[in-house]
Amino acid sequence: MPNQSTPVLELKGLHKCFQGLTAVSKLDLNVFNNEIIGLIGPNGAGKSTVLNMIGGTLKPTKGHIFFNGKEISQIPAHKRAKIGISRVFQANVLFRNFSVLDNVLVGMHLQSKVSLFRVLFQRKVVGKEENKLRHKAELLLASVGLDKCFEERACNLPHGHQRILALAVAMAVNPRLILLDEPFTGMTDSEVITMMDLVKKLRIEQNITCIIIEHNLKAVMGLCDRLSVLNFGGKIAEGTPDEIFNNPIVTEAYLGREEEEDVA
Amino acid sequence: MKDKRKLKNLAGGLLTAVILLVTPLFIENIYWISLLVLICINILLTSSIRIIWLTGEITLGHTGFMLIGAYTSSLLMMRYGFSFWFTIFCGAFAAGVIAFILAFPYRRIRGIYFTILTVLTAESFRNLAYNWREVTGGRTGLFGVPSPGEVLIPWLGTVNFGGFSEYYYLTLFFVSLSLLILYLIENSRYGLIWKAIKEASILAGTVGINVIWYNVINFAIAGFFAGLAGALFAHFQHTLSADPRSSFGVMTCIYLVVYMVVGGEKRFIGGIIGVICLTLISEFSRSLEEYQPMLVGAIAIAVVIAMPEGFVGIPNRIRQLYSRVAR
Repeated sequence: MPNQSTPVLELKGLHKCFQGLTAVSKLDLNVFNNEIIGLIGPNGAGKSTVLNMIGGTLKPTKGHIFFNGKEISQIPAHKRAKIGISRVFQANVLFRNFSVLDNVLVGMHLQSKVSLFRVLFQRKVVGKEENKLRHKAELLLASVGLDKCFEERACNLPHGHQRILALAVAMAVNPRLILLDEPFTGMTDSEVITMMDLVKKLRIEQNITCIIIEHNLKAVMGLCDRLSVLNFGGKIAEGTPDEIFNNPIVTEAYLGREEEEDVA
Repeated sequence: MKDKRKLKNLAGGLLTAVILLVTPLFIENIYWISLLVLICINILLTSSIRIIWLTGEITLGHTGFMLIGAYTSSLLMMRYGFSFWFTIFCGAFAAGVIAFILAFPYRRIRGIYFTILTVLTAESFRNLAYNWREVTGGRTGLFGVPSPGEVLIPWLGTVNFGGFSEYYYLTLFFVSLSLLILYLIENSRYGLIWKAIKEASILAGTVGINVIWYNVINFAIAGFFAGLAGALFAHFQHTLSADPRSSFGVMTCIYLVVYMVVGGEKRFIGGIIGVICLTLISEFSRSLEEYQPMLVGAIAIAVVIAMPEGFVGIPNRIRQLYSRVAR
C-alpha cells in the first residue's frame, strides 16, 4: 500500500510555455511512495509535457520539481536516471536495430563501469562484468515474458512486445519512479492485462512508484490509486478513480457541456 | 558456430598479417611501396571517421585534425629537435585535445549542420596554416620535415626509418596498433553506447547515458587518430602544404567517407576494404586522367544503389547466388 507520509515526487507551481502557448499552468501534484498515479485528460491537456518535465527532457519555465525532497527541476535527464527516474515514451522509442537483449543491456548502463583504460587494459575483468550484466538482462527479460527472443531485433517484435520491451528497458535502470506515457496504446485486451500485471508486479516486488498517462479508462481504473485530471494545462480534478469518473467537471472536459434545449 | 567464426577470423587475420609483412620483399618499386604507406594512412583516417559515424554523424572535417597532427609533429622535430617517437604522439595528442575542446559545442549539433561545421573548421585550420608564414611556411609550405631517423630495435639492430620499406613497416606498426585499439573500443560498451545514441539519443539519455559527454569522447578519440595519421603522413612526405588542393583539403575527406561507404559502413573492416579497393582501382585507372574521379564516383553510386552493404557484402552475395543456382 502507498506510503502517505512523504511524497516521493512533488510538483510545485509547475509551468511550461512554448513561445507564448501555455502547455502546463501552475501544476501542483504530490506523488507518494509505491503509488500508481494516473494523469488523464483530453488530447493537448499537457500530460506528456508534465512527464517530459519530470523526466528531464524538457525544462520547466517556472515552478519546481522535488524528488525525495531534493530539487531536480534543472538537472538533465541522464542525471535523473541516476537518482532513480526512468521513462517509457509514448511512441515506441527503442533502440530499434538492436537486439532485445542489447536494448536492456544499454538500459543497464548505470550498472556498468565504463572507462577507456579498463576497455584496453582490463579486458578480462570487463568481460566478466559484461557477462554478469548479460545474465541479469536475461533474467529481467524472462520476468517480463520476453525470454524467447533475446537475439530478435526490437523492430521485428510485434507492437505489444515492443511496449513490454520498452518497460523492461525502463526497469533496467533500477528506478524508484517510472513514468509511463500511454503504455497500453495499440495493445490488444490480453496484452493490456499482461502489461497491467507487470506494472502491479513492479509495485509489489520492487516498491516502485508509477505515473501513468493513459486513455484506456479500464486500465486506468484497474491500476491507479489516484487520478489527476488535466485540461488546458491545468489540474481540474484529483481523486480516486470512482470520484473522478463521477465528477461532472471531468465529464465536461472530455465530452463538452450539454447544451440546454429551449422548450417552446 | 561462434568458435568457427572466431577461428576463421583469426586465420584471416594471420594471413593478412603475413601478406602485409612480406609484401615489400616482393615489391622493389618505390612508387608502390609509397602507395602502400598512403593506403595504411588512409585506412587509419577512414577508420577514425567511422568512429564518428557510429554516433550517426558524418564528418567532412577530419583533415583539419590530420593537419594539426602533421604540423605539430613536424615543427616540434624541426624547430626544437625532439625525437620523432615523442613528436608523433604530441601531434596526435594536440589533435585529440583540440577535438575534445571543439566537441563540447559541436556535438550538441546534429545532422547536416554538424557536417557543415566540421567542413568550416577544417577549412579554417587549413587557411590558418596556409597564411601563417612565420610558423608553417604559409603558401610556400613546410619543407624538409625529417624522417624518424635511426632506432635501435632488439633482435633487429639499428634500423633507419628513412627508407621507404622501413617507413612502410613503421606505418604498418602504428596503423595496426591503432586499428586494434579502435576495434576494441568499438566492440566495448563505448561502441554500444555510441550506436545507442545514433539509434535513439533521447532514450539513451533517459537510461543514464550522458549523450553530450560520450559524443565528446567519441570526437576526441577520432581526432587523436586523425592527428596520428597526419604525423605519419608528414614524416613520410617531408613536405607539407596547406594549399586548397593539398591532402588537407575537403576533397580528401569526401574520398575518405566514400571509401567507408563503398567498403561497407556497417562493419569495422569495411573502411579498410574500401580504401584498398578504391585506391588500387584509382591507380590502375590512371590512364583515364581527368575521368578517373568519375570512375570512383560511378563505383560509389553503383555500390550505394545495388549493394548498400558495400564490398564487405560480396562474399554473402556470392553465397546467396550459389545457393540459388544450386537449387
